[in-house]
Amino acid sequence: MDAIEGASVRRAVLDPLITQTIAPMLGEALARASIRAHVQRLGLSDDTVDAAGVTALLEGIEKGLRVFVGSERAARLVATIRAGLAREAAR
Amino acid sequence: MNRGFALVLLALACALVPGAAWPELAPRARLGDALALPLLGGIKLALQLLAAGFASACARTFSRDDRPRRSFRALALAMSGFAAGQAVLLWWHGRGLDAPFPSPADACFIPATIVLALALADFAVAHARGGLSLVTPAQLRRTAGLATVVGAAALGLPLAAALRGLEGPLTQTIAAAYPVLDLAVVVPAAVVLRQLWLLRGSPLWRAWSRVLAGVVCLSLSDVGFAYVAAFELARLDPLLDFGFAAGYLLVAWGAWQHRRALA
Repeated sequence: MDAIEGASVRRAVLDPLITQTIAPMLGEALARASIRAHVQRLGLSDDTVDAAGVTALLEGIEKGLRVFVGSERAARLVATIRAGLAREAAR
Repeated sequence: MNRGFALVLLALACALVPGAAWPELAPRARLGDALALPLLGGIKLALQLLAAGFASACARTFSRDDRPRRSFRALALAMSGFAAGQAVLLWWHGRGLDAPFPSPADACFIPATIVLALALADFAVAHARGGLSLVTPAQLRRTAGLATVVGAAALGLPLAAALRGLEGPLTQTIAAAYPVLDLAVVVPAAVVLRQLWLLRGSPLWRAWSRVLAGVVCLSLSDVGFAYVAAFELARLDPLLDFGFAAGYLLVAWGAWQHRRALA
């Protein structure tokens, strides 16, 4: 989380990263639909999402994942997304 | 192991389904009651225990605070209840006799069906409250309403026939309880299916589709049992035996796949 704090992330990077992480377990349809739902709920309409938006989006996704995969795996999946974002930020 | 489950399902279909069309091929006709009844009862008992074991293992993959842990434990409890009822029936089947109706086994089957309905309702509530809930409450209400109407239409006739043909308030109450409880199982199963539709193609969908197919199989077999009893269609018994065995097998298969997907 610290690695992406303060950084804005482009949706073109964020969305595929979330989808690639979630889809192997929950399928691409659910991954895309959940991103769409959370983005709408949070009002993240721009091409770039600020750090607070990323945090809120990932928290929403983690909460939703818990019911399917349990809290530990949900936390691991979101940690993987955060690590991917940190790698992108370091480029 | 997937192949193992599929082969057992195929073997059950080959051994049981033809008997519904050609009575001379039915297990009871080929093997005799003394062998066929305990064998069929034993197979169902083994599959129920397998389903209970895998559902319980599935529950353990979730943390204590995770809602699905409770739901899977309830599913395991329901399957254990069915196994207890089947074990009671084996007291008669082991002697090559048909069990009477009602019997002490109903004291296990009825609570097990209630627990199964509660387990499915618990899954539905958990999914509805989850942040990834992408189905609106209105869509869920429509699904539940449709399942209720279709289920009630399918169950009304055997329920009425069963009540007409049976004597005694206890017997009638127990006979009526099964179709009503089947409805209580099918409605949350339809809601869970609607909630999980977006998982299509994923490992968790493969697991859930089997669990739900198994539950529907069990309910359809129960409805079939009511029709067979009401209209004296005993020649369809092999089809019911297949339906129940396939139902328990599918629940076990789905629970195993769910656990594997999360491993």
